[in-house]
Amino acid sequence: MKACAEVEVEAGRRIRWSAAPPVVLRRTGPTRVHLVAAAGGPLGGDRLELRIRLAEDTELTIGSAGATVAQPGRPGSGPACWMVAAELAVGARLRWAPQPTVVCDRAELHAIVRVTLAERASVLVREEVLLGRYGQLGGRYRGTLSVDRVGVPLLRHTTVLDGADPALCGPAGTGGASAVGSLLVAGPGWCARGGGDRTSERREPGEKPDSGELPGVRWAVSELAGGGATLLLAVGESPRVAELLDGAGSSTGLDSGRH
Amino acid sequence: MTGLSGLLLLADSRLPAGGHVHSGGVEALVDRRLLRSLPDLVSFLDARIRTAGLCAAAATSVANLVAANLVAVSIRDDRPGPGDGPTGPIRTDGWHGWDRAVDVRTPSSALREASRAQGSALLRTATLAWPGHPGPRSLAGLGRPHYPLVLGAASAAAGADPGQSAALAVHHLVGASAGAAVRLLGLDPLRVAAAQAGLAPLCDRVVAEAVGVATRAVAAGDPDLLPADATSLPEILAELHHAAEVNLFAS
Repeated sequence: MKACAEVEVEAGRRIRWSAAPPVVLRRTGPTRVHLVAAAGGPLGGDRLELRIRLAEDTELTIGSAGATVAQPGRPGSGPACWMVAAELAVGARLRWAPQPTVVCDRAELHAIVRVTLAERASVLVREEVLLGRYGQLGGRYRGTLSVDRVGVPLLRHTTVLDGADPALCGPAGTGGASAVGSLLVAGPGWCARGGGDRTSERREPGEKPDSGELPGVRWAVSELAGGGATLLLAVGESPRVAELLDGAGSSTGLDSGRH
Repeated sequence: MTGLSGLLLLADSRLPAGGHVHSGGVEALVDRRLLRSLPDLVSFLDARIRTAGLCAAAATSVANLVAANLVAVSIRDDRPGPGDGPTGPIRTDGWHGWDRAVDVRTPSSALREASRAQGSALLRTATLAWPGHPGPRSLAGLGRPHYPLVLGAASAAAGADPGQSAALAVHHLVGASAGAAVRLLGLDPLRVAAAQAGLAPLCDRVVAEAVGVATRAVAAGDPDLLPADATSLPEILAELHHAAEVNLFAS
């Protein structure tokens, strides 16, 4: 299945969108839309795309009504591709915080999030990937996060997972954990921080963000080269990773929690 | 075979280039008992070679090609150029995009710093070892270039080709981790060497892939073609390790 949906916030703050099943959007607030699953999947061989455009000084939050469950397609169908491309004009703010992606046994998913930021534009990208449904090891996943700021590359990062590959589940992979999460925050005045209320006292804005480890989750927050952007990476068990991302997102002053 | 002696010099861990203070992420894993045995080390290397190894090999191979092109340009133009000795003008313009490419593929600030520290150390050695080659000397214009770029430029100066330089990058990634594991876990060095030999075919496959990607990236002048494959635990532990108070290895 091939589909490309679009959502655009115009200069007058009007939100326009076009659905392309199975990529279907619903407006859920003045500056918020949700992806609603119109079919199972994606399945192997699917090529699904969402294009996002934000005009100058506009704001949009995109959530999803349910988890994305990547399933295997017919034999030989190849990976499922899910591409999200966002273009933010000067001063625009985008929050991309969908529900987790579950990669089932024998499924293969290539997920790409590509963000282009103009001056003063800000983006928060929250992603959580779970290897397998209950009792499964999980399939193959390549998740690429690519961000450019005013024509200059800021981040190129591809997370590689494969629940059936012992080395990628070993000490140089996930260390046996079933969930990984990431929170990218780029733009003026935002900073990401690990732990949230659970592990550390409140800190003043602008203080160095935390990295740490607790039973069931390890995480690190790094300032990216070029400054003005941080990436939090977490690995562990599913509820702990989600809690960590929620806590870190709330300390940015923007709610990264799932809506 | 031209360049073999220079290549072997760059492959020697005794070359003063600061590599001995890096464990390739092994120390942080050993501290947490996440890496305890030879099979753990083999699993670790297997994943590292395919992800970080591929990225490092591709960037090193790119630098080898870029440095070789600097020589070709100065010969073809037949004008005073960076190849004409230590007093020639230094061109750094060709390197910025590739150095940035390594930066944006290394979200961990601890790993970026480790890469630049190792790059600077090797650059001091390489500019003295091959003073007439424009590769290392032009890289010096960047200040503290990333390690894969210096390794690639130094290997070009030593006469090595892009494939040999990519192999060198994987060799050092494996060697740093294996050496640290021997020291930290007291593993039998003979069995570790045998394990490394067993991983050689995987290294060769990754090197071939890296050279293909690097050749296309340099031909297109597009750093976006370089791989950015990463795994969770090494990047997270690199930051935690950097923040720890007592470490034997810098990374």
